[in-house]
Amino acid sequence: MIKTGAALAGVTQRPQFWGGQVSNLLEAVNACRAVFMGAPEPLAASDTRARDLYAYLESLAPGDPRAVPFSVVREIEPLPRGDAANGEVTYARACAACHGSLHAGSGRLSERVPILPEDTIAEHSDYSPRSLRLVFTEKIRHGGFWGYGGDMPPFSREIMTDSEIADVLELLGVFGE
Amino acid sequence: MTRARRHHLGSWMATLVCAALQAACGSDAPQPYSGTAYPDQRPAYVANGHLLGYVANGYSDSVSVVDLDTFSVLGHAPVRRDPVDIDGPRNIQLDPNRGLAYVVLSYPLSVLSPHALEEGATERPGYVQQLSLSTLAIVGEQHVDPRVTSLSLSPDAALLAAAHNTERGMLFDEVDRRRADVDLIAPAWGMQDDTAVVRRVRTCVAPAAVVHAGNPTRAFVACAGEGSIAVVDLENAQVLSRVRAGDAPVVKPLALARNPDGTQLLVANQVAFRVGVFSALDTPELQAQTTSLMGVPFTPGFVSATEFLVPIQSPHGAVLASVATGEIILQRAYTDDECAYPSEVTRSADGRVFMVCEGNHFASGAIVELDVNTLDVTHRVGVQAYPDHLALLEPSNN
Repeated sequence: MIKTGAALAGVTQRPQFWGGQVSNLLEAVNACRAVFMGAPEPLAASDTRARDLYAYLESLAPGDPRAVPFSVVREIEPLPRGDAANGEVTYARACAACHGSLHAGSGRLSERVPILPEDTIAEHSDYSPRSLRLVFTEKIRHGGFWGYGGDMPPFSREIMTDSEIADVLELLGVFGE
Repeated sequence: MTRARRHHLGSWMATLVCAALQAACGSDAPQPYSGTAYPDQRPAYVANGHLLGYVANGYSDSVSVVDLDTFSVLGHAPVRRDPVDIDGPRNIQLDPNRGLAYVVLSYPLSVLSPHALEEGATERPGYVQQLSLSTLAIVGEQHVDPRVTSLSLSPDAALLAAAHNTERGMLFDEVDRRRADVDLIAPAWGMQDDTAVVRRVRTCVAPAAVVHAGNPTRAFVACAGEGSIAVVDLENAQVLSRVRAGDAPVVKPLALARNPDGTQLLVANQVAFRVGVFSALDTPELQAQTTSLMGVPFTPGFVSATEFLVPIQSPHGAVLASVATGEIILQRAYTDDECAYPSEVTRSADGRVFMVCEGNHFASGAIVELDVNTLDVTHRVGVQAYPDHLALLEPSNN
């Protein structure tokens, strides 16, 4: 399984998060709560829920206390064509847990999660094929960030290669032509 | 196994399970966490009586803390609201008496993604964040208008003025409908408990830079979009005057600086390649100006009562000029290794002169110290990508 985030065991000992963009665990927790869970207010360190969460995270120690690399691919460039067979493997490992099965969405996390690729193509029906391919790439790289919205986490360069993304796009039939 | 023996074994196991459950859920039930949750692992920046520089790095989402006596980096602290986007910290201001710093987040690339371009995205609002001066931890924040580029803290550290290099309704012919706001935030320290109040002053088209005057009730604004300097009455939140920012055929003031007592202003005109010296009055008057410079002027600074220094780009260099006449006294070009894209001059209380070198916005920039007699670079320390502003923490304040 390919997961966008790092293992939680050892997290209380790590010096930084989000590839160095956050240097305090509570800020990282609050970023996750705000971005992915819709929490209206950040937790204070003294909040019982925050303390309980910290106790749980600490119980997972030792884990790996080292900082986890997380390089966001900021510039979205056109990718060369990929391999659909490889894309099927990557889709199963990285996408299916949230989006469910290809074309049907069976097993997806919730009704809000788009069925791939049909829902996303329909949402961008007036886009040119080239832009549509860029937008799929951007969504994988930026998730709900960079003004895009939604709850999807970004896939960093360390988590997924451009080649793997090109393979998934091939599987999805988003060719850019 | 006989039925009686199975019954005996079952009773024994039931007793064991009950005992285990009691141990887990009874007297040994989880207790509230008694340790220190979320210890602040950020390092505290210690000055040790040295001159410290705080540098906002616009494309690294960080503030670099540098020791300007030893020219060493004490650390690069992340500052941002969003862990993925470029938040674009630009100007940083310090309030050492309260142990606070303020940084603006400008979101410079918020509309450049493929999705945003297709959707015709609008600009993203900016933020002013309040930080602990010792660790640069975020302690408060205030939402402001988009494209916030410049920040000025009043001498008593009570009021922040934020300028936004943008214009409203840019398709309108009437200049008044294109004018953008300068945001006044007071009390500045009130961000952490939501007692800060924001007043918006419709100031001018593209108010690119703001500085406080010596008079604590006045601020001056470089109006890039209408070629003027605006004077803002901070008590009544209104514009007192707008005067043309020089006598060049095309005037586009983009950078502004004041002398230590706040009686004079330097205004950099990037289109005319000139810097003007103005009186810091309610109706500023042009007192002197340079002739055309050898490059595009950025944020200048007074290096003495009689001289000012202008960083220039294309080519990279610096120009020393007379406050009284604008006459160029000395000029110097720099290599990329010395100072790529000089953008701001700052003078410390002990008379040393520093310059921000933006770099190419992808690789690290730098802070350099200059010998004012030769304009040679005497010391250099690297920071991170696109350093935009240097704020000094004097030894007397740390």
